Amino acid sequence: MSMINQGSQPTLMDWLGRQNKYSLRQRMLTRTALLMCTVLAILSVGVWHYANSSADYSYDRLLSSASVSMLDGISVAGEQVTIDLPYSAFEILQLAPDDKLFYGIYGPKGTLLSGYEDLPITLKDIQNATEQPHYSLRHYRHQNVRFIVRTKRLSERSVAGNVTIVLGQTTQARDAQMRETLNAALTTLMAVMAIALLVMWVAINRALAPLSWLSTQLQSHSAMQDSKLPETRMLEVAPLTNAINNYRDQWLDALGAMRDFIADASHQIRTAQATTKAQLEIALSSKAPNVDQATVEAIYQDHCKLTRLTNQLLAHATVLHRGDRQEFYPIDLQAMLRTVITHAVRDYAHTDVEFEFQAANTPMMIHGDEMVLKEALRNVIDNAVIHGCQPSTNKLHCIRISAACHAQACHITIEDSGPGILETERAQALERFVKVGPNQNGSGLGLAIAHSAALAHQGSLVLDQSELGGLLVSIRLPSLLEPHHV
Amino acid sequence: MRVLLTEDNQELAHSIAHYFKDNGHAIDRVDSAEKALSILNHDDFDVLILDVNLPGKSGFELLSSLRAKKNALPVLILTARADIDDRVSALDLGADDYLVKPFDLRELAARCRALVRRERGKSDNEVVCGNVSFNSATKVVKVDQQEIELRPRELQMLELFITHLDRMLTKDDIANRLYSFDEAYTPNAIEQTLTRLRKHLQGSSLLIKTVRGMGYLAHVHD
Repeated sequence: MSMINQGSQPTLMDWLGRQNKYSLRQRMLTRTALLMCTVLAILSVGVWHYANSSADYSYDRLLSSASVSMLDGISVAGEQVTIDLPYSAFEILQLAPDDKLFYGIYGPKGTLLSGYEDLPITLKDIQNATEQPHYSLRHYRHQNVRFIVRTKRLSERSVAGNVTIVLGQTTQARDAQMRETLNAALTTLMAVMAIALLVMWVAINRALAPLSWLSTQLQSHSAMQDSKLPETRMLEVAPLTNAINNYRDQWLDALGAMRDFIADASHQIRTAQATTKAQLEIALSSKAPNVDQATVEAIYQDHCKLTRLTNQLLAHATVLHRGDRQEFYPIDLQAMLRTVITHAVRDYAHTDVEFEFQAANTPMMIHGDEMVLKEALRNVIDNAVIHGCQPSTNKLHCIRISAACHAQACHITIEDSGPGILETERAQALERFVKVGPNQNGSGLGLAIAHSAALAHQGSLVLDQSELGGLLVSIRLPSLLEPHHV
Repeated sequence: MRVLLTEDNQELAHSIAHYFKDNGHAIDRVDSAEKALSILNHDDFDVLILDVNLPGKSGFELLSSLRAKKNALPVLILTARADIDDRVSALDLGADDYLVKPFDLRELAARCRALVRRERGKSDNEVVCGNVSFNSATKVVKVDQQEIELRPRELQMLELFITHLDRMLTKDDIANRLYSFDEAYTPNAIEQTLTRLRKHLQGSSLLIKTVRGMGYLAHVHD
């Protein structure tokens, strides 16, 4: 039965199969981790942006307040603009103790009144600051400096126009705050991700646990053992264990049938072989120089029986096996019957058996396996030929095969004019290796084969008394045609 | 008849060869498809008996290469597998007949004779079926070398059966062959002709069986 091609070169498919093996756990974790990293990267950009703008917001307010108080210190005395920088302005900016300050105050004509003269402020910045203070980040004296530009309108008779104040502060404190915010947010995010991954790991392991449980259960039992997998309370796993149990049951049933068959078959074949062997031994040990023709004839007859038995056993095995496979296709039953009968007539042409066929007047289509059905019909006909003749009487030996269709079923009947089977023995006659009636020459398999074939086709086989005097075998098979066609 | 047997089982090949020789046939045996091919290239045979399972090239391969070369030699396939697929593929590949192992030697010889007869019938005028011989040119029928007198209709019927051995012929098939369109006939007339033909052939190896509801089948039992 083994079809495994051991020692053969691995095929491309094997190689691909091996290449495609992967761990479900690893794959799920890697994918989740990748997804989380992407989310983390997107969130980091957001957090960085938030930290930056919040630091700017706080320190810009300091710059703004300081510049306002500085503007307050600008006044006009006579024809001169006087500047009195208030102490409070620098007090405010002292909140960032390590940062340096740069300032410049420009008069209405754009002349520098006080402060640094090289501040990186353009005319455009000043124009932008007429309505509201203008902030900008510039690189000045090898460091980043945040500048505010604010203007104040002087409307004295002597001095009229805008006084502009430019105040700059290095960004050390501002950057420190930004980093602090960013670090805090990123740490929290990463902790959340790590926890999520951990939860995933636990969840995946829990989800995969039934698989390893199933493997352990299956490994600890032999496939041949008649034990079911234990009941599980997991709703998702229960269908799988049920399916495995069902599968195993079917397998065991088939194995059981096979075991019975092998036991029966070996008994029958060995018995027949022993008979032939014994006869051959007698012939060999005989003192006569020439073997008696009658002995050879007897050996030949026994060997023929053995051959028929072997053929039928194999046919029965085939019928059972093919019936299990259920590879059915539509068959024209009448055409098939004609073929089987033609073969039988040819093979029994030298005997006195008369065949008769009563065809149905409607088409008979069924769903089935032609080989199995032919084997079954041929066995019933062979049976009728072997058991149907009564040597004692001079009656004509007749076999009638009829086909008919009624009530969604096709009926094939095979009748003979022999002695028939007693009503009490009919059920027994369908069993394997059971021989009934006066003629014990058969193998006891013919009707069993036909019965198995009928059952494999969801049909039935019934034995009855024929009006011809002998046995009537009726095989019913479900029709493929709709009732109104029949 | 001259037979080439291709069979790798020595015991079986020996028995078959023995049986054929005893029955007065020339038989050569080889145990592989390759040897069979080389012999067939320079010798003529009437029939080839071919086992399917052979070492090296299988019987099917030998058969298809024969048919590819347009070699019409009658081929009888021996197969151990009683599976329908095997038979179908054998016949599809151009085998003329098949036998499933284990078989009867008499059956094998009879099948070979039938194949040779079929082949000869195409070229020769004389067809021999067991102890019956029929010459389609002179219309002379002999049973056991004794000429028998048949009426024209009986002759026609006999010729029909001999050219359709082992096949079921319906009453219509026979009537179409025996009567022209304008001739009226009754089914009974066919029965009567058949009864007379059977009487003439009594004791011969040509059997004509009646199957009620189906038709008639002729078979050579020798």
